[in-house]
This record gives sequence, C-alpha cells and structure tokens, in this order.
Amino acid sequence: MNSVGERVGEAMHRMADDVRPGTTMSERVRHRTRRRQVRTAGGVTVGFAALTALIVFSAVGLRHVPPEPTPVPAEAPTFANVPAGWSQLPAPPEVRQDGTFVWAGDHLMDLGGTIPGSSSPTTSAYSLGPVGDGWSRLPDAPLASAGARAVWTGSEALFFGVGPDGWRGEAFDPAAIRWRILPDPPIERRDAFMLVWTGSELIVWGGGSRTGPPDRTGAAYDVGTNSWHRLPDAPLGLNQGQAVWAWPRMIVLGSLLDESNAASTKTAVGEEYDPRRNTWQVLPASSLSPQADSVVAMGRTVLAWDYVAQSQTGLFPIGSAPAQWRDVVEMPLRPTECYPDSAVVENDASPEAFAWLCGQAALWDQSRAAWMPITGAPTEGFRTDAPAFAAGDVIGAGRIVLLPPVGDHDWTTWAYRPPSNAPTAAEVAPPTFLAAVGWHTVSTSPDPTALEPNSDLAAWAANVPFDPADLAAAGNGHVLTVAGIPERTMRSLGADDVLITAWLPPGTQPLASPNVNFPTSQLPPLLSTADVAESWEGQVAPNVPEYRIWMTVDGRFLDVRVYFGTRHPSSGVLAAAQAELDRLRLPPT
Amino acid sequence: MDSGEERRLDELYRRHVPEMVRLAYVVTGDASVAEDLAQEAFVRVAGRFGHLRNRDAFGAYLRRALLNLCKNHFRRRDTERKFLSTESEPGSTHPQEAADTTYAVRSALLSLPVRQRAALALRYFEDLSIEETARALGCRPGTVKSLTSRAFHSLRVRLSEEEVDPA
Repeated sequence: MNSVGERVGEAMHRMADDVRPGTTMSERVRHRTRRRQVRTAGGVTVGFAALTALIVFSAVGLRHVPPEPTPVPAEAPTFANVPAGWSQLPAPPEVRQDGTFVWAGDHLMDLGGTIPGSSSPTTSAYSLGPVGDGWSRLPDAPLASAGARAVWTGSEALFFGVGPDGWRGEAFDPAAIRWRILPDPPIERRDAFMLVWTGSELIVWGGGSRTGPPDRTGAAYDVGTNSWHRLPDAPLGLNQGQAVWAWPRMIVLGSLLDESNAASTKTAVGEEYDPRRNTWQVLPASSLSPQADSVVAMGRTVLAWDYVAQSQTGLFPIGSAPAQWRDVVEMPLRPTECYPDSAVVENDASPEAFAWLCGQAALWDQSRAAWMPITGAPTEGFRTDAPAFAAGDVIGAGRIVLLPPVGDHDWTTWAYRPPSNAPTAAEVAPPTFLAAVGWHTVSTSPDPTALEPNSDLAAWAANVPFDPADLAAAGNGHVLTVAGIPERTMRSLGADDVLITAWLPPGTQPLASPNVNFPTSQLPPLLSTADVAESWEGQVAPNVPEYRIWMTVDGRFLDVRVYFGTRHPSSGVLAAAQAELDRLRLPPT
Repeated sequence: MDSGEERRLDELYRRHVPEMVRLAYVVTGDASVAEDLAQEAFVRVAGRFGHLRNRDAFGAYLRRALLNLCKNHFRRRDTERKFLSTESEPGSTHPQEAADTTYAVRSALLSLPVRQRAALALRYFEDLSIEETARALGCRPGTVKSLTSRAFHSLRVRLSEEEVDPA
C-alpha cells in the first residue's frame, strides 16, 4: 500500500492531467502585462512612491530588478494610432472577392480570392502592419484559395479550405516568412464547416449541404505533430452556425436547415466538444432564432445572438454542474434579414463583443452586462442586402475590430475602436475608515486606471502598522491597487492587536435581489452580530480567529472581517475594534 | 515593445504558465479558475519583474503570486458562496466525476483548507523541498511541516474507509 504522500502526489498528477493549458499568450494577457510594465517602469522613473515600493521589493528578497526606463507601446504601430470610433484604413492593393483575412497577432493578413470577372482563385498574400502605414506583399502561397477560413496560432496563420478542391490547408509563418502545406484532413469535403483554434489544435467540424444528411464528423490538426486525427461523431449535425473556443472546450451553436431554409428545431441548439476527454455533450436549447446566429466567447462566458437582435449569455461549467442559458436580452439593433457576425475586442475593464448586423453595430460590455449601440457605422442604413456583410467579415484585432473588404464594391478596410470601458472613479470608490489616533488605514485606489481589473473595493484598518510586504503585494505602499489580504500583519497580531478588512464584493453590485445571508442593516457593523470562526479556510495562525459581519447597506453587500491575535480578545480590545468599525464609511451610492 | 522583448515575454509564458495552470488546478480544483489565476499571476509578475536576469527567480515569484491569488480566490469564494446560496446560479464547478481510483483522494484533497492543500501541492506535485515550499508560501519550514502533518491527519481521517496506510 502506498503512503499517503505518494497517493497524494499520484492523485494530484492525475488531476493535473485533466487540464491541457495552452502555451500561447492571449492578446488580453499580453496587453495587460504590457500595461503593467509601462506603469511599473513609469512609476520607477518619476515617482517617489514607486521608488519606495522598489525598496520594499528589494527588502523582501528581489535583487535583480533593472527598471525598464522606456515605456513600451501597447500595440503594433500600424494600429496603435487608430482613434476611438470608426476609422478608414488602407485597403489591400488587389481587389479580390472571397479573399481570406486573419488577424496575426500584430498585423492583418490577406490571402487569395478571385479577381473580379475571373473564377480562378489566386495565391497572392498581403500584410497590413505591423510596421509602416500600408500593405506589403508577402510570398505567394503554395496553394490557391477563395473563400478559405483561417486562424492565428500565435506563430502561424493556418488557412483551411484552400487548394484545387478547397479542402486542404496551408500555413504561413511571418517570423520565418515561410509557407508550408498541411497534410490532407481525414474527413470529406463539405460546405459551411466550422473552424476553431484550441491553443494546440485546429478543429474542422460540421457543416454539410441542406439537401443531404447533416455532417456530424470533424477532425483536429495538431501543429506539434503535424498530423490530423478524427473526432468522434457529434450527437447533433449543424449546417448553419458558428463554433467558438471557450477553454477548455469547443462550443458550437446553430441549426440544421433544409433547402427551404426551414430549421429542424424551434430554437438554435448547440453542443460542446471537450478535447481532453474526446467527448461531446449536447447543450440546453437556447431561446434564439435557429435561422442565423453568431457566437463569441469572453473568458468563461459565451455570448450568442441572432438576426432578430436578441442575445443570450451562457454558463457552461466544467464537470457535472448543469449548463445554462441566461435570460434573453434585447439588442439595440433592428432585426434584419442577413447573417449576424461578431468578434471579441479587448478593452480596459474586460473584453467586449462587437456585434455587426448588415451595417448596424452594437457593443456588449461584459463588465456591466449591457449592450450599447454604436453609432456612425460607415455603412449604416444602406447595406441590408450586401454580401460584404455575411458572416466571417468581422475580425477582432486586439483593441480594435477590423472590417476588411470582401466584394469589389467599397474596397475599404474599416476599423472600430470602442471607447474605454474602464470603471469610473465613482464606480471604484472604496470604503474608508476615518482617521483615528493609533490606527493605520489604507483603501483601494480610487483611480480606475491604477486599480487592477476586477479588484475588490476594500479598506484595511489595524492598530498596528501594516507589514510593508502586505502593502507592497497589494499596491504601491500608499493605496491598494489589488484587494489582497494583509496576511503578514495578520500573522503577527498580538493579544491586544486588531485588524479589520472591509470589502464591497464585486460582481454583486448593485443587488439583483435581497439575500438572506446579507441582512439589510446600517453602519456601523456590530461585532455583537459577527459570525465567529476560530478555524477558517486559509487561517494564517491558530491563534487568529475571524469575526465575519456580512450585511446589506444602501443596497450594497458589505463584507467585514475582524481579526484578533487571540481567540479570546479582552473586552477592551473588542471595544477598540468596535470603535474602529464605527469609523467605517462607504462611498455615496 | 520590440520583437525581442515580445519573444522573451512569450518564452516566459510558454515556460511557466502551463505548469502554473496545473498547480492552480490542483489547489483550486476548478480548471477555468486555475487558468484565470495563472494568467493573472503572470500579468502581475511579468508586469513587475519581467526583466529579471535570473530566469529561475521569475518562476519562484510567479508561484508565490499564484498561491496568494489562490488564497484570495477562496476568501472571495466564501462571500460568493453565501451570495449564491439564494440565487439560481448553477453550482460551483468540480473537476471530475468519480471515474477513477483516485477520486476519493481528490475529493479529500479538495476538502482541505487552501493553505494545507497548497503545501501538499508544492511538496508532492511540484516536488519542492520543505525549504522551497516555505519560501513559496512565505512561512517558516516548521509551518510547512505542520501544514502537511495536519493535512495528512485530515486525509487519513477522511480516507480511513479506503484503508490508507499512514505515511
């Protein structure tokens, strides 16, 4: 029989085998990292506060921190200067129909298509960016294409649906400036197939004609082994729909239409494929129209919408918890007889979904769970029948959305940059403690640009100085930019010491409904009502109890926790803690 | 950012983040949370310390930031759990159904306090020494021994029906 330690190790390694994290940094992570680098570097050069932080970091063991003196640009030069709103970018030098555009990390690639008046696919390829103001010619592709689909892997653009029969793949590596041809896929050609990049594999799935049986087959191309493998057949076949990668599974949503455009289901339906288990699972039916849908993934949330301008977000938990579509939300668009399309665009607070419906546009702000109309679209109002706005034309390109040309009319590339969705100062106003002799207090930053996205709004108070490492870990020493826990301070509390944290938990404000666990009350929080835990998850030391006071104040949840250095604080210490709680203030609603 | 810096950032990500996702998954038991936390840790550490000359130090800082985020995650989850108890949200996600022989151990692991679980993960998943684990958790080596000892005790109690021998 193994020891517990060995069994623990074995169980943990088996657990870890369940996850197959991608090795490619997402644009969102890259952007946030750059922002932090810029902030850190700028602070070090100009700010005493940051200098203090640097000293603190050194004190905790950092010995090699050459500060980066020059702020780095957050975007490729070609696209960094695109202002908020709509902009016109240079069009590709060759007018072609059915060309394939793909965002390749820092530049836009354009491949193939047919010259107007000709039915012959071409092999020419162009790049807009990453440097310069115009398009540049790339080496010709080995296989001609028209109407291919493409994904960006982080190092290569993979094009599928190329070649004489339109059922092959080719890849371009911009760093090596080199093309290669992919092996033949192990599944038969079909129309309306769906394509996603999983982080390590290209999945080609579904589609099929409207006159024959649905095609439930698919295959995955592994770039690491340069080989394909078949997927198990899906439970549902869909010949109209979209696929999206919502880590760690592919979500497909759509319908099965016949030659009269009649759907086999009343609403759009979907299923998910999990590459880790190589299994499919049918999702609950949505409430959306089965005629034309678009779907995007923003983190763990999937947003789907249809041509009659209604949307739903979906929660698809991993494991045994049930998948669920949330209530339908009306969009600020007019229902229009054309295919919807959408793309994810990065923004300050959280990614947003850009929705495009034949010249009308709207933006889904995930952080506020709301749609906003986008006015001034360049083609608004007169493109209701144009094939240029069929699915596949909207490309998320980091902080902007690109609408490259498709037909031979209006040979123009449009770009849209959403306004910042960073929270306002009022939205990030933290709780505070009034100053009092003998007490040390600190709150999260009221500066929306300094506060970490999704950080809790919090305040700390203690009748002992905060450990500098706690302040350094959660902020710059003067304000908190991340609502961490003053763990070191907490760990060193003595019998007469008190530490208080007060939070306004994010994501629950404003309240949708009353909650019995957060009874409606008024300030101050009363220690006499606290739920006392002598042993609690993450307890820093056995002598530190946690007094929890959860309440609803002016329609907001307030989470207050009080820590002492003993399980049996004296009446004097309890009174001192209550006096500090009396000094807690919340920002105006 | 020049292309050299971009490549360096990409290399740091490729080298460290997948392993951090696995570590976070072992600690949190939630795959999507694990990826979020690992990416958040990378943003914070690469944002501040991306220019470390000593590459090994980057991994140590990343691991420590990740474990702090795991602890914060559980603290926040406390509140969310309370909030959700009267809402119609689906239950929290769990990693696996009882499909393999180690399910009982997994289940017992996920019932441990997060610091004990983190200590076990560092010792028996990351194969760190007691001293390295202490540095990652920001505590003394004696505390690591105490955390693992208490964790083993809890596991033995929970797994007693599984006929687990003492370590």
